[in-house]
Amino acid sequence: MRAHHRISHRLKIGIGIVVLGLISLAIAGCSSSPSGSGGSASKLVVAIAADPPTLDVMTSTQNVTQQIGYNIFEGLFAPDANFKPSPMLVDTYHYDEASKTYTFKLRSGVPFHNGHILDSADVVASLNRWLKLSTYAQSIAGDVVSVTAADKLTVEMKLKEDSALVLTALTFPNQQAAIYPASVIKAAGDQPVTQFIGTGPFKFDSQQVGVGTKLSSFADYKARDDAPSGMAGKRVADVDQLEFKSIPEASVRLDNLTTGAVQIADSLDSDMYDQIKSNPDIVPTIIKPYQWPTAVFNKAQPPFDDVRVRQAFLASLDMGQIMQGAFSSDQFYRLDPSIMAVEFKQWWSDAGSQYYNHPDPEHAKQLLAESGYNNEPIVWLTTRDYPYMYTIAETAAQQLKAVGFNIKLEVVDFATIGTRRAVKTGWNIYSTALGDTDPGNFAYLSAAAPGWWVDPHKDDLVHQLNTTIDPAARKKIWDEIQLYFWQQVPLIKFADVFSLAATDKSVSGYVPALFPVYWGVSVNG
Amino acid sequence: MGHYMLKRLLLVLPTLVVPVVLIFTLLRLAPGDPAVVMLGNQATADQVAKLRESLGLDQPIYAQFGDWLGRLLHLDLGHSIFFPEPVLSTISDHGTVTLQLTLLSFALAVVLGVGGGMLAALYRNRAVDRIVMVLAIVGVSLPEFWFGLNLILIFAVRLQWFPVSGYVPLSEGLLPSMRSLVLPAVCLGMIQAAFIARLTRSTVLDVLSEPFVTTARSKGLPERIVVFKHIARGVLVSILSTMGVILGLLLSGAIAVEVVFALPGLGRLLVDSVGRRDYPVIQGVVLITSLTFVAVNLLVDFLYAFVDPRVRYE
Repeated sequence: MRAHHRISHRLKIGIGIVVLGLISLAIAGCSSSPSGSGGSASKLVVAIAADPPTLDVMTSTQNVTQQIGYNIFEGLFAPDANFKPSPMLVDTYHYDEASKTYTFKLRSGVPFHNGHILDSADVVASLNRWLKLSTYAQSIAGDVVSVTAADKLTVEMKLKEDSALVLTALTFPNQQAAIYPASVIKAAGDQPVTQFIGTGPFKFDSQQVGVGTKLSSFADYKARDDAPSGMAGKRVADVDQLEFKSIPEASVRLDNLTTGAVQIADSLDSDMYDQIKSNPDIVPTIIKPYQWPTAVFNKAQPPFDDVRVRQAFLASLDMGQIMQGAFSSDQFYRLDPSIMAVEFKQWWSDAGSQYYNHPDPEHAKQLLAESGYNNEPIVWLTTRDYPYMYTIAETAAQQLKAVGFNIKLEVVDFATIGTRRAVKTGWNIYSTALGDTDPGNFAYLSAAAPGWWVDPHKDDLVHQLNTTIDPAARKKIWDEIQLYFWQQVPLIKFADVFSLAATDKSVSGYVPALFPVYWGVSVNG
Repeated sequence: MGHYMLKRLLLVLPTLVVPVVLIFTLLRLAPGDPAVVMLGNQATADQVAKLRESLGLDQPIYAQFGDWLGRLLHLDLGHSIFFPEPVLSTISDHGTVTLQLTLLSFALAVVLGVGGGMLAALYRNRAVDRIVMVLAIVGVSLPEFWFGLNLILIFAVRLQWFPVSGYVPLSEGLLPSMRSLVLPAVCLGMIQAAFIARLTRSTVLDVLSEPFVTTARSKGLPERIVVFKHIARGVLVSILSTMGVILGLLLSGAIAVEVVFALPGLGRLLVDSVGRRDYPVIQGVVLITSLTFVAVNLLVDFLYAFVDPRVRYE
């Protein structure tokens, strides 16, 4: 060994120790006990994908806001297991056709989390704010003349004309018509509320952006007596603490569930299903219904202002092949022409099924030729924010190119689609996903919705649907609208898609649902 | 020296102006709108327009920029569009996590990198050298995202030594807090350690052949003194010059690491805010990270003189 490479033995050991010591320090310094805090029977931890930007459920459309908010806030009505309006804070109600007035009698002695007892002033303040700020409330806002207090526990809503949408709008769980104390609304005005006080079985404790939201059971909660059904009926908080941890990565949410750090993991990737199924300690749950992915046409611009081009588009598509490309298992999608999912039994319809998923390339080519379409580029805005939207667009584009469509996919983030679709130029198709509990809330039937389906016959049918009270008569009108939908093809429904969640085996009472709730859920052992 | 420091300090301002103006302009020119994100899929154009007006987004870019600069002069970064708190407070909360993570990763990277690099150089062409260099090549090639998920799988899911994800604040105890950061810090730090190890090895090899090392050894100085006093000092100057770059890499690497490990740090805040188009938060985070980056590089420049007496500022 040469002199300048001669290193003392002690020095060699010293340097080695520094390097190895750090690694072992990191490991040895830590406890070998399993991570997580899910051991307590009175605590339920749910892993969700994102932070709620606000818990003002009345103004936010974010699913995660609603998912947490359901537990804190209640409305006058709640959807039962069949998504039908069922009284919640309302005791009794009736509609007087002569005066076109709904009268809502409130339950007495219902406390808010701050101790205040619910009265009609709270309901009037809440509904007026909701009618002004909620996107979904706009389906009835134009028909509402006034919301007033008749007495301490009676509220009247006067309408311009009969509306079948009032109860469904008051029931719809997104941007819900939640009831806040009047004092909270007065303090917030049109800005998001900052005091999260409701009448629900859980009360808000704390929120840390990037970490999560903590709720605790509300000791004075006044539950209904009727049997639980969906979000309706008796609500009981079976755990003392309910925590939502925001974990952006789906695989990390699942890892947290595997190690017991959380008891429910939400919004998992469908290709994790087999992995979950093979683990005896956790249980996969498939959430049906969820949404249906769609391609919305820009009907204000050529070529999709021509119905023949839209029909050619539909006739080009093999939905089975498209959905196989987007999901690893057919458990996560369902080919169905009904705009309303089959779980909404009262609305499911097969009207127009002769047009859905009957690929006929020759017919598509003929329609394209008749329309005069001459290979002009078609810009399809799609996104990888929701991977299935991109995969669907990519597979569909291949099928469409084979027929003669010149599809140019533009992959952008979802926020960009939201902005670009508002302008009538620069795009021809955009990807999104839809799902509603009542066809009257289906915004894409409106000529004002991006895509601009301007059609007097359709508008007349929609008006009939929204002003007819009798459910059977409404269903007949809806069948007619759905048939017209598939004939006119204002947008494409590819299929119903489902979401995957998983729970620890110690969890009981959890019902996989489009609008998940955590009262009635307990953790054993 | 004083003149030089003053000149460098004055240059900080134009250095910061470039990223700040760029991010402000690009955000406004990029498609995507916080009003649309807030109101969701079913909002009408009228509702979006009203919200844009209430957020001041209907104003011309220069007016919005002027308003933002005016606030900045009062150290006010504005309010988040989505969260009901000032941007400065949001950044302060998240910055604590990123600072802890970065410092831990930095310490890990320097100790492992310098230690490994010196070992490799001192045992040149022997097994230790080859092992360290293979690890270094693997290390610099690892994507943080993939590495992080595998660390979780091995050390959190299989061995259950560490939590899978999440952050425990310092207020809940030093050890739990550090424990929650071990895997993220290893993920971030190991990759930088690989870079530092390669640099250290080549620098030490250069220094080993310098006459002053031969002189030190010929004087009969113990090897410990030769390595830690003479060789290490020579190496330190080279390493120090890269510290600014390494900090930048750590800050950018923190974005992926914080998302994977669900840490409420600045990187994740930035990613989430871009998705939401929360302009004030994005601008604030870019400004603060740029400021940090510039300040560290400035500090490194000043430290040269203390580490290497040959360096003189004019």
